Amino acid sequence: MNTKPNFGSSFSRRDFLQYSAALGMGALSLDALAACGSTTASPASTNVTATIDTLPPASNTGAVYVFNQSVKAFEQAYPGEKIEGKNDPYDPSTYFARLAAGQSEDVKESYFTEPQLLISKHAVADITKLAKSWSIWNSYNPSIASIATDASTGKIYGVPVNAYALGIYYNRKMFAAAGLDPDKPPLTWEDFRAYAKRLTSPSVAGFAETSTGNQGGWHFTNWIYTAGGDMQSADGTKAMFNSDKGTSVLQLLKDMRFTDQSMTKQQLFTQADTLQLLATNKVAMVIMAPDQLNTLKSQYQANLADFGIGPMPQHGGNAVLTGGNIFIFNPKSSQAAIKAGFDFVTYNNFNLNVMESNLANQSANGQVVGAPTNVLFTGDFQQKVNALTTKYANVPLSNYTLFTNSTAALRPEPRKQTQKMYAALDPVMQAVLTNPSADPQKLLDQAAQQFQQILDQSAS
Amino acid sequence: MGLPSSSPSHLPRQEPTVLPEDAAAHKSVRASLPGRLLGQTLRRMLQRNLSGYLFLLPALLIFALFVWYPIVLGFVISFQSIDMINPPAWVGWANYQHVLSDPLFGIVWRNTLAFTAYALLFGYAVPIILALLINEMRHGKGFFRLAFYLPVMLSPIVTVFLWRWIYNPDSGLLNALLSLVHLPPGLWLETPGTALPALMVVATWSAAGSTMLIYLAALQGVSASLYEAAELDGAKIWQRLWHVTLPAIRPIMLLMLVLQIIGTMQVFTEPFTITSGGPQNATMSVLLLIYNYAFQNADFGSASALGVMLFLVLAVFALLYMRLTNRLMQGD
Repeated sequence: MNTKPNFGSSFSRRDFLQYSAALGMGALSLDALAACGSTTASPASTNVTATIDTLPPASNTGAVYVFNQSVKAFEQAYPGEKIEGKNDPYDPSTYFARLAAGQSEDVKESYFTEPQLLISKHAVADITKLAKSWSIWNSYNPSIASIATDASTGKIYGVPVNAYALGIYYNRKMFAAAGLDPDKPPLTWEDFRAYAKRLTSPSVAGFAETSTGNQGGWHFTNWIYTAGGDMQSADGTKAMFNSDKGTSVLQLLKDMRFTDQSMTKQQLFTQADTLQLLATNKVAMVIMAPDQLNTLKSQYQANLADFGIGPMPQHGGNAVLTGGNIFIFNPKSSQAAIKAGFDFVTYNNFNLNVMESNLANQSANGQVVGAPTNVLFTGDFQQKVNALTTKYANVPLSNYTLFTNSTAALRPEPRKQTQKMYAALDPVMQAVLTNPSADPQKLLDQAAQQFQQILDQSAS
Repeated sequence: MGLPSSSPSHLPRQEPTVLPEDAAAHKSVRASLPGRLLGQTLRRMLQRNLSGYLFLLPALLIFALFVWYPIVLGFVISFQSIDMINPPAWVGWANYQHVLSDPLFGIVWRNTLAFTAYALLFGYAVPIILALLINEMRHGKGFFRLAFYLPVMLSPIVTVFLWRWIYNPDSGLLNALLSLVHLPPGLWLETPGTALPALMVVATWSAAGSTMLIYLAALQGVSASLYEAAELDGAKIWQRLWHVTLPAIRPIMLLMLVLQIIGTMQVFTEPFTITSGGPQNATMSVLLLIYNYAFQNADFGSASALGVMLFLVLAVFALLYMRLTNRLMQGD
């Protein structure tokens, strides 16, 4: 801000020159950035480079080493195809802008919720030919394969790479201190509520829940599945979450927050906040996906032996929300770059020999191996994958026994306007977590009505 | 315009004449004369200040590319459906209709106006009072000036984390202080009624320092002889303040008022980073909704449409600001 007293009258020439010089520097650095982001293209036609966004952060040297080793192995196996890693995880808020600016990598690791939107916006490359010629494609569990497929045309747009189910992360030491068995996490809502109350002390809250960044709606969906409710009708034309199942979810959270006082007073969290609360011993239980074990270990140097993962407590639904990651390809990239990227992704993640050496490498370099994940494939291939993972696991697998053995059905996130639905539900979650007189039924009715309009508009 | 350089080559350059098409355009030689004179004046100005204009050129280009072009593009996109891959399609007023039918539309404007009003009621006077106090100090002026300016130098994200801790109901500073004096703790950011004012405090805290410096400079420009005269007439401190100081800095106060309205109506950082628009949309601002349209829903058309609406509202204040600065310049 200009701090000159007569700033209105004399924006002097010197100021102007300084200003434009500063802007010029900014413009130059933008150019430099644009140059960095350019994709593909290499002089020799036989040599092609594909960029991929999964390079781990430089702070995690072990993971960077593992990544570079796999690239080296790939380039030996596929002469003429080169891989360049970027540390640039998928971000729904910048994806479209970067794609338009030509700054998106050739290959990005996105989420299960994204492909349908990206397909409708033409923001993802069609890889049907590559996928069909890949021997393992047909081993995918059909429900997983459908995430990458456009139902109306049958075309394929991605390579699903892992799947997760949400569960309860809990602090085993706190369980023991509260007289609870650390090997027996709560399996029902009633137990969950009672455990949270017992775990609460002046310095520790029993439970913390997310309610911003669309993660309130995400976790609400998970909760309503455990109660046997639905978010949308099967054809995705009707909002259905304002049912008595939906109300019971909100009532549970509200009772825990205000009647039992077993939740944090502070609210408006995202998953990053609640994981921090768990890692810093402020909260005893949070809801997470197993892939967060890596963050728990690398970012907070947590001793994984102190933490357990239990299945989502159930209330008649015997189901849990599942999600996952999927590799997608840049529609603006050359066919050769997409092929190189596809070759790398499939080679690095699903070639059993490579998998084995990657897992050995990961384990030797302090990376988490064996975090319980879901089944992507069917039949023989999946069994081989399981055997490998168990062989190299370096996490306390016994702390996850109940989670791994859970028989709860895996229910995917609703496909229609998912993020907008979550956005409509965030305020609802916030209301029951911050307002003791919030009316769950009324809140859900309003949100359902609002979201129904969005569904109707998208259908017309 | 009848610039001589546009004459055909067979005409002597020294004798600038009106060409037939020029004559037709200007109807008469008489009418073209001022035009020609203007052209000559322009050319002379250009020649005399050529280096100056060359210096100006990069700035003009950068402004055109990074400020004016995006503004124009914003208007254009507000009438288009864009997926950033295929060519944009014209959709008429559909984006505007979508924005107007969004249940959040009324909420975000109400919140934004409430935020602006809170900032005016409670935040506007803060830098003036700080500047007056520091101006009256005999000792430690430099220290306090620096102390009040420090928050401006903090990165906004640091500010955000600091205040999230201050407001934290479980272990925050504010509730700890309140409990010391036996006042009940509050759920500052978790209650719809207090979340917006709480954000206003953060915004004021982090911006007051720079405005204070502007007022301080203005105060130092008030002639000492006016105070002497007032003192000789027996004016007390409040009378001096009311009849000398405030009238002297009034033009600056008016300007800062308009600037503050323009600034606070674009509130984004605090709701985006501290509350994400919650609880229950109580801190969802116009700019945050624009951001959500564009970057959560990939709906750049609606984002631009709402952006255009905000632009039009702010343009009124910007015009006011320009008129005020003009008056201030003439008054000097």
